[in-house]
Amino acid sequence: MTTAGVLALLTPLAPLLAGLAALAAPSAAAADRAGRIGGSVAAVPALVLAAAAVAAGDGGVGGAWWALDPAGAVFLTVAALVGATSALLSPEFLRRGGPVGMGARAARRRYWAPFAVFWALLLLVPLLDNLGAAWVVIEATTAASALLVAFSGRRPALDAAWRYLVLTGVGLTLSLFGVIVIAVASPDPGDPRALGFGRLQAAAPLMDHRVAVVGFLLVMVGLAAKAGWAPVHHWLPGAHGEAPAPVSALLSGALLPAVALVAWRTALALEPAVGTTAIRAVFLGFGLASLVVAVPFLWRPLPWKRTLAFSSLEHMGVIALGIGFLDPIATAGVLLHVCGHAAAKALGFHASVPLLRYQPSVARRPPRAVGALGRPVGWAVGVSVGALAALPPSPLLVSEILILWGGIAAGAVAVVAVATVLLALAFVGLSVVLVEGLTGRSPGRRPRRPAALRPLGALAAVCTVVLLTLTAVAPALPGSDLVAGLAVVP
Amino acid sequence: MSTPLVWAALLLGVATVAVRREGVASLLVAVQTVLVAAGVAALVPGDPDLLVPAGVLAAKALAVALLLAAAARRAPVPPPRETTPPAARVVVTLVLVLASIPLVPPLGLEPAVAEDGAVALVAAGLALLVTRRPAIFAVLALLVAENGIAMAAASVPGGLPLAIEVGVAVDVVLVLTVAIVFHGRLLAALRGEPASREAA
Repeated sequence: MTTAGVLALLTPLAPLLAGLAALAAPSAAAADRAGRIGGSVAAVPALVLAAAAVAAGDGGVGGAWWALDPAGAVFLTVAALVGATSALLSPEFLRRGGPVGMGARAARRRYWAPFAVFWALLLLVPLLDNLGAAWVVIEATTAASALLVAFSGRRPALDAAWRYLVLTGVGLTLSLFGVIVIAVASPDPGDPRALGFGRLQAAAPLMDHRVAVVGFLLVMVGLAAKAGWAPVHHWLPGAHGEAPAPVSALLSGALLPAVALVAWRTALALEPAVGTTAIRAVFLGFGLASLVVAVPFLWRPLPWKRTLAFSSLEHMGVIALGIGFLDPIATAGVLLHVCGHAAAKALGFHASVPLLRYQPSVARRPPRAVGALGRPVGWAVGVSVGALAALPPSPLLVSEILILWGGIAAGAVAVVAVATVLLALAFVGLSVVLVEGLTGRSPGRRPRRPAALRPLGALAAVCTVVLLTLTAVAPALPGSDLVAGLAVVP
Repeated sequence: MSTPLVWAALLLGVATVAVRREGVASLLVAVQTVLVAAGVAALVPGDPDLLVPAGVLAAKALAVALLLAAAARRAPVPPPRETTPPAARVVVTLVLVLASIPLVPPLGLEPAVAEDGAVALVAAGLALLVTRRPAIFAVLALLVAENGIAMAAASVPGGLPLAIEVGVAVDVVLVLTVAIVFHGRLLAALRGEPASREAA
């Protein structure tokens, strides 16, 4: 087995081993230590593999059951880093909250086991070059993440997890039907490699157009439900709002883009059979619908995590638009957007842990004067919301410009015009959240132990550097090998 | 897959929409799942390649039946009042089923009756989700739709890759298990018990 093959095997295995270590730990503190240290180490194989794929250039690296091109390496890196930060900061969350009436050690078992499984599955998605296998893994993430959404055991969390399970379950069931339809349309459905993205693209010109369109639409509707695209997004605000903050970061920063990647690869593979018009219509439709639904909520005074959830809906809409324009400049924008969104959103969700502790009103209302809660909290909220609002020098401003520019180059001027107005409205809404969040009188109390905020402060510093770096490298993306990788399937 | 079996599976799906009691509905869906597995098993003598997929479906059917039985044994709470009368629910289901079959072009599944049956069951599952209020029916809706998909998968010329069939079956059982656990916790919350005391 090659080194890359070993790394590919270790990529999902490492988080599982960290989870096992946490399960076997003799105490809650030991479980948290195992989860924190194991989680940090578990990201290493994925990051090394991603670096190898980028270094290999066009074709990337691959093996019998997996393939990773430079573009996929970006998604893998995002999943690895968001997961690692969630593992690092989970003990802070676990010390403050757990299921009703459950001991600390039992709560750790209930948390770390599904966390490890969920993260392992997320790391697996970018490696899979087979539509059927990708479906199986995405469906499995539903079971693991639903348990995490319901972690607190409170009625709203149970309701949110139930809705998440049912709505994404129905969507993915339709998607599975679409996978079967596509398999039937391909020359040799029984061949284990028939649903490989490369094989599908090769077979697509021979597929019956109507059957391929039916299969494509079914797959897209199902994946859209999981990716949180409107109008099949109804689980998203509740699940992201009720889940533990580190899990919300994974849901928003890693899961949604991973599902979008599978949808993207499927569209590219089936393009010869389905046609670019259908692909554009689907992705641009989901994109605009997501923006239309999200923007009004960004103007409302919502609880902090709900604001972040609707911001996720907005940014997934931007990503769908970027995919749908089918233009290399827009593709560059999408890659940048995925990275910038993950960094800013993870920071925002992790900031909710001290926010909820020192300013409990953020569970019902927007935050106020968060700077009074300590510099790390103020910094984290400010950087997160500023980046998500696309305030310069946020990389999300650059990515949105690239995506809209790509839309103009693709001839979708009307869509670009509508999207521009909606993004401007979203900018204003989030800017109000930012200003009101940083000013005024804090209804909460100051932390008695400011040292407890150091991990958040460190994360805020790292995310700031990451966001600024993304802005700095953005001009190099259009025309790069990273972008070329998403014009063709692996 | 034989025509009488396809019809039986479809009738069970429609009956699930109409029946009042959750326990009866769960039983109907469990029987439907077993029927679909039996239908695939009956094809094995003529197509030995279906042996393993039939085994996978049989194991899934057993797991589904056991999980639904465990869910049905819970102490009942009064279900939410359903505003849609059973006859109207059946009409909606039949309309969805009859509309979906001509909308879907011939997909190439064999035999054609299994293809129509698969589409009809998926539509019946969606109708069940839309027309029934109690939470357990959402789970049953997923199972009915998944039975349609199992019927479609068994009708693919040459069959689907085994890894996909096994993966799908495992996923379904996993999601069903989690859903049953949640359903139990939701019932506990409705009865005023701490949700963490509720076990699967």
